[in-house]
Amino acid sequence: MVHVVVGATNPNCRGLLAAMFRQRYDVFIKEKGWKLKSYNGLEFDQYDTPDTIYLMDFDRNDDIVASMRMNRTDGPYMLADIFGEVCEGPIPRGVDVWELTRGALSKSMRKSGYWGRMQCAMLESALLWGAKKATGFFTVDHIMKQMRVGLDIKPLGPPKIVDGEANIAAEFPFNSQTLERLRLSYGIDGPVIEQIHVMPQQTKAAA
Amino acid sequence: MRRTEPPYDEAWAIARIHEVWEWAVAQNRHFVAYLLGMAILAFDLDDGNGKFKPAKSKPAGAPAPQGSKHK
Repeated sequence: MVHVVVGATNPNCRGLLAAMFRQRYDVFIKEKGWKLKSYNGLEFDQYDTPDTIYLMDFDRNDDIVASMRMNRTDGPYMLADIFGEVCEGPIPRGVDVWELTRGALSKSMRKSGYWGRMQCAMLESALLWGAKKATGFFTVDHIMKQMRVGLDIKPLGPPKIVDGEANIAAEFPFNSQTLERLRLSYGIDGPVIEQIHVMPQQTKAAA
Repeated sequence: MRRTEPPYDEAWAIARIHEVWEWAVAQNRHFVAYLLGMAILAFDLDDGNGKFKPAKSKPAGAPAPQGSKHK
């Protein structure tokens, strides 16, 4: 089942976060060869903030197999800061628009159903937090696959080659119909989120 | 009747595809838009940063290479 962790510095989830940053190092730096900063085998950057929401999925041995990073877009975010020129129209922004980045699936799990669960967990989280739209800079290959399973992803500009891959800025709506389509496509019966780990001060505020 | 060269060139072709790309996005024909986007990118890959040059096909009946490269 999928864990949702709020905050890159969440003191209650240091183990989970370290496992995810290590997985990102393995996937994006070692495997894909992206030129990213790393620290002692962990990959993280300025977009890993106390407000960032992470999805993590684990196998039966409690090893992390999939993760994703989600950020609100009313402040600095990657598409606007780094890839802004790839959008032909206005760059999406807002409290209820989330940027999806660092979607990572461990190499041995590419043909498994883990990514479907991550996608459903993403929609479930968005509906819980009241987010209305997703945006990001994705590989065209990935987007075409996601469209086939039910995401209605609108291109925001023509594709560009980055690190040898065709990438494109895009957006899609978060809504219950999309969640239903994804569950149907992946053969998932109900909610996949097992636990939500909020930041301690958010727990206090809620209490 | 005097024949003239058709006014087609790369800029013309990209501009036409881009027009259809915009139409596809506006009409929510997103699969079509991605494929047209890749077509626009293909112009750049052919002769731009990608410097793609298709391999020349070997003429039929061409002799097989002689000798070993591990001589």
